[in-house]
Amino acid sequence: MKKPVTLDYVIVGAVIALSLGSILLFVRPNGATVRVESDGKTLYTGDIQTDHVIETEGNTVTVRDGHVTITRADCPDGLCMHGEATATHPLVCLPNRLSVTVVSEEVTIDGVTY
Amino acid sequence: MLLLVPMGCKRREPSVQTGFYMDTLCRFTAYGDEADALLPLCHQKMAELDARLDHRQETSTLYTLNHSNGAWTTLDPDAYAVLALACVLAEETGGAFDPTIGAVLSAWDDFSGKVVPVDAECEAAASLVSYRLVELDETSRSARLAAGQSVAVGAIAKGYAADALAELYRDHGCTGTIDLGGNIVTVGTKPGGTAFLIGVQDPFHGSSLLTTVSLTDRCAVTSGAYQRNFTQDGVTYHHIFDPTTGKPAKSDLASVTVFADNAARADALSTAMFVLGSDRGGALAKTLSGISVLFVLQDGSVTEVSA
Repeated sequence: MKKPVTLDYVIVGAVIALSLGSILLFVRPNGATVRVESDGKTLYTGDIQTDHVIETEGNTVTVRDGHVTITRADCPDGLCMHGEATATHPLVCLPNRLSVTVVSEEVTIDGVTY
Repeated sequence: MLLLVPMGCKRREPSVQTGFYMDTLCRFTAYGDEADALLPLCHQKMAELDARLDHRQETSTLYTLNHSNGAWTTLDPDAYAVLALACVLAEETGGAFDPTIGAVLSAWDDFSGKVVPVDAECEAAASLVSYRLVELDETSRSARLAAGQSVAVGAIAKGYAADALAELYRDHGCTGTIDLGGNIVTVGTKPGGTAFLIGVQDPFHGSSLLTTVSLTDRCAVTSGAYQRNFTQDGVTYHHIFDPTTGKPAKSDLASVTVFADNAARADALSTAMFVLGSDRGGALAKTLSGISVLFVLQDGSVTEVSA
């Protein structure tokens, strides 16, 4: 007999919700901080609503209109240039050991599995 | 190593540090009086396990094993533990997850994106994959492979490492989360007793969450074709290989998330479930105790199976 766990109920609830329409939580809160880090050093922190371009040795990080993207990567695959950083989803350029994260007190997510 | 939030005694805010290990971004978030002492140990542990469990590093005993031409090879304690556990999980999954996938990875140049082997090369590599041919001797902590075989434990190493870090958290009386490139382990609860809220990424919209779950002392590991892939001559190849074909698995899944008490198990099972697909993976999930599995199919539908 399986043990009833909270997770079961949460997932069942989520599946029901998904049958009614996909849960799409675009997490781009207004009061958030963008943090750019490279191999042990914080290169930039700033408000997500303040447009800014951060140039690193291998990448360009662009903050514009509340969107945070990597717009240049000198690595072969350029995978980090897909998508945008949100409070639940960091952008990472592994070859350059660069991470771009959005930190927000509005978002209560403790982690994301992907 | 980055210290993002200083930690003081009795503070309810966590200490958070990040680092790059095992080819991924790792984030350690700890609550507790000893969090400041704990997090440097997490970096130390990750660096150690990264070196020990990477078969590509010449200093690792797994590298030695892969180049031993079928001779018995003494492994370090972590490499032995991972390989032994991997063989158990390979048996549990009917070989859908198999640590002797090394020859296949070699044929694909460790998924560098530069090499797409022809069918005959894939078949030849796949013929060498069989955990059943691995011999283990616990007393001498040694292993022996069949001729031509090689092991690669990347599909379980992050889970194993996350479990090791969780043990460190508990040893230091800390709670928190361990995030090794999306492999999540929750240790205890937040201050005040609330569970950790973990999101599951929508495989079709990278910036979105499919759902959220509350976890306490549980792990969540996801495998998906969207995570690592490359395109050559108009064909996109993803990084989760079918041991029987030596090629990226032809799965009806966009992603699969496994929830379990043990991250190494969740890690290996998520790979196996992806390879098996929703029908066979779902059937397997029903036979395994203590896990819940969230299948997201290519057509966008979602099913959940709890053992």
